[in-house]
Amino acid sequence: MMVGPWQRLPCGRATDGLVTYAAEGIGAPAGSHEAGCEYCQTAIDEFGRLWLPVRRWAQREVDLPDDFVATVIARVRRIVQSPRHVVSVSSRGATTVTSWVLGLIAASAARQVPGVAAITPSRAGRQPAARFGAEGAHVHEVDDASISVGLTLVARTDQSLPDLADAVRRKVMSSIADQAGVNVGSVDIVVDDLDVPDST
Amino acid sequence: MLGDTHAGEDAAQDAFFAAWRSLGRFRQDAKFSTWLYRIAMNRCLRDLRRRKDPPGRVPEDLPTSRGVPETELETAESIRAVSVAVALLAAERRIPLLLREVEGLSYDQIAEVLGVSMTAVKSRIYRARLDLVRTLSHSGPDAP
Repeated sequence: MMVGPWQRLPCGRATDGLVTYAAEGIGAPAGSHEAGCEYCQTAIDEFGRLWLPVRRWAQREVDLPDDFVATVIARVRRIVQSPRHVVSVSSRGATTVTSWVLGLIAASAARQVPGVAAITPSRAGRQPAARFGAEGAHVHEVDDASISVGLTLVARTDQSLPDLADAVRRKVMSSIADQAGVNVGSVDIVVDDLDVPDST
Repeated sequence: MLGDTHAGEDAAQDAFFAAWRSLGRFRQDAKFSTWLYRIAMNRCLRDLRRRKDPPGRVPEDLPTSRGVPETELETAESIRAVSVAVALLAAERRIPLLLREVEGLSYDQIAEVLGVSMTAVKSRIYRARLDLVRTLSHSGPDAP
């Protein structure tokens, strides 16, 4: 008997409810119709056969790149140890902002510019050692007084990309200056994809 | 989960960093691993919502059959078929299924990780399994 989901068996039971028994590897409860019905048992066996590759797939060793854990831990460590920028000092204490926070401000500001569909992690030329930012915004310290920001974004179509980049640049510079009091010397922008509307 | 090594690195980085920042807010009424799963799942879901190509993308690192002895070929191909079928499930169904089948979490742990009711978890996993069985029953060697 060939069975599949959404069938009704000759005994009147729908096959859908039997998939769980096969997937969980448990039998039908003793005394239930399914436990004593040959049609149901055949269907459970058939679903069990179909589920076997899923079980093998779930148990397979996932081939993580050799350096995956080391890379992630190194990146987290660098974020935690992210450079701090002193933005004000008074007799009542100093205020510092981390590069991580500056990256968040940059990404948030860029996202507000009409024509920006998304901010994405850069896929090409990734330089984890230099990455002190979040959400695709990379912050590099130039000197004590200024920083540079790198952004990778997805743009909406039907617009001038240089104009969009200029608008993003202005918005990022003003947002970081207004919110953190940090001077942004340059903003490098990579447009790595276009958000093409569905034609449907 | 995300079908992309770089996206996985970013998600792991953000999840560990978020956990480090939130450690002080960790309430010990949940297991630490469940709490960490929740942070990672939230990060993955946020990534998936931003993408414009749901349901999931087909993983870039699918097992290939090159150099595989013939006796293992069928197994490799069937695992590949499952990988594709799982990747094509909607995230709402794929994520609880992965937590159940791959991570081995209980239904109530999954409900806690995803912040939904256990009924919702059971329903999503049930539907994911039906979707998978339907797909696999049409892709196997005996398929018409």
